[in-house]
Order: sequence, then C-alpha cells, then structure tokens
Amino acid sequence: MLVVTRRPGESVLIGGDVEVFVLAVDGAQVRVGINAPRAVRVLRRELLTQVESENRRAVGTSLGRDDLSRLLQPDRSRSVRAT
Amino acid sequence: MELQTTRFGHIEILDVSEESVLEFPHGLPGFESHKSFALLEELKYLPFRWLQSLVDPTVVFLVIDPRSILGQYEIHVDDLDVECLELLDGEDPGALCIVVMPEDPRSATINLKAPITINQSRRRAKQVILTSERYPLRYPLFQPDQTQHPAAN
Repeated sequence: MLVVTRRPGESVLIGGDVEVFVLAVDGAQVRVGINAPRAVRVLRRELLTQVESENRRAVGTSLGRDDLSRLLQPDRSRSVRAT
Repeated sequence: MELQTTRFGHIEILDVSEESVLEFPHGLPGFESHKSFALLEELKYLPFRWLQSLVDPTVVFLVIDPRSILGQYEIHVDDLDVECLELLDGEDPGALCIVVMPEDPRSATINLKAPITINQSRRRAKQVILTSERYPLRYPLFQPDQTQHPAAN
C-alpha cells in the first residue's frame, strides 16, 4: 500500500481524473473530499461490508414450504399481503 | 433446463425456462462468482420469489418486490448501473429486495438499502447500494402496526 502524509488543503491524484482532498482533521476524524468522474463509484467501505454480510445471512436461512404458506395465510392478522 | 435448488431447505430439482435466468455481470456483494441466477416463482407463494444460483444449489435468496410492502419505493440508478443493466434512455429497472428469514419468521427483515435492480427485457440484474439514508438494511417485513411504514415517509 502506498502511504503518503498530507495536510488539510492538500490532495492526492489517482490516475488522470480522480483527486482526493484532505479537507480537515479533527482528532480521530478526517474529512475527505473526492473529485471523480461519474463512472467511478465512491462508496464507504463499511457499507459494502454490511451488504456482503447481510447477503451471507440471507443465504444461511431458509423457510420450509409449509412455513412460507403459513406466512401467506390471508387470515393472519399480520399478513404480508395485507400491507 | 434442469436446476437444483435448496429454496425450502432441501435439495429439489426443477425444470425452469431459460427466460427465468438473470445475468449478474458482477455477481452480488459477497457472492461475486455467482453471475447467473434463475428467478423462481410460484403463484401461491407470491409476492415471494427466489433467486437461485445456477452454479450452487445452496446459494438461494428469498426475495420480494419492495412495492408489495411499501407501496412506494424509489430507486436511483446511476450511469454505471444503467450501463450494466443495458437500460434504454428513461427506462426504469424493476426491483426485488432480499429477505432475511431468521428462526422466527415474525422477525424477518428485508434489505431495502441494497435492492436487486432488474432489466427484464435484457434479463440483466445488479444489486445496487442506495446512497440515500431513507431505506434501511433491515426493514421489518411485518409491521406491528400495518398502517405505519416509517421508511416510506
């Protein structure tokens, strides 16, 4: 990993069209500004991690035929369909 | 074509049409190597459907059309998504959200934060992550009070 030291107001260029600015530093928090073309996706890392782990949770669970039918019973007071 | 699925917790062999297959060019987060899924549906289980990986019978997602829960659900797709889904100008993708079903189905949640967007006509799909704070990762499938949908406000 390339490591560089920057001060607030300074930036780093990545390729020809991505620029990452250090805007402010306050204790353990760093405020970062990013200039990038629309085709470059910028995402908080933890958000992707959360979606990955939520997907794994989803695959780890299943519902039997009868259980699912029961969930869909129209006479249940809290039926999915009633929404 | 023949397909193996574990959608109900045990192996089952289904005969599905090629048209039910959706291509995920990037896979799904955490499942990047799974690029093709069959969308399984049975009338009696609607609005639930399943996305079954073609390469692994144990990789199956229970999914639901978020609009059947919220009535209204807005997705913003960016240029990258439009390109990946091969959407035409002004064309809106369909959406399905992944259900997480814990042991007690009453506490099931749906992932409104990262819907699976679908271009039906091109049969292409992508799970996108919405940047808006409006929709949570775990939205309760069953509301204590059916008249209130906080995420829809």
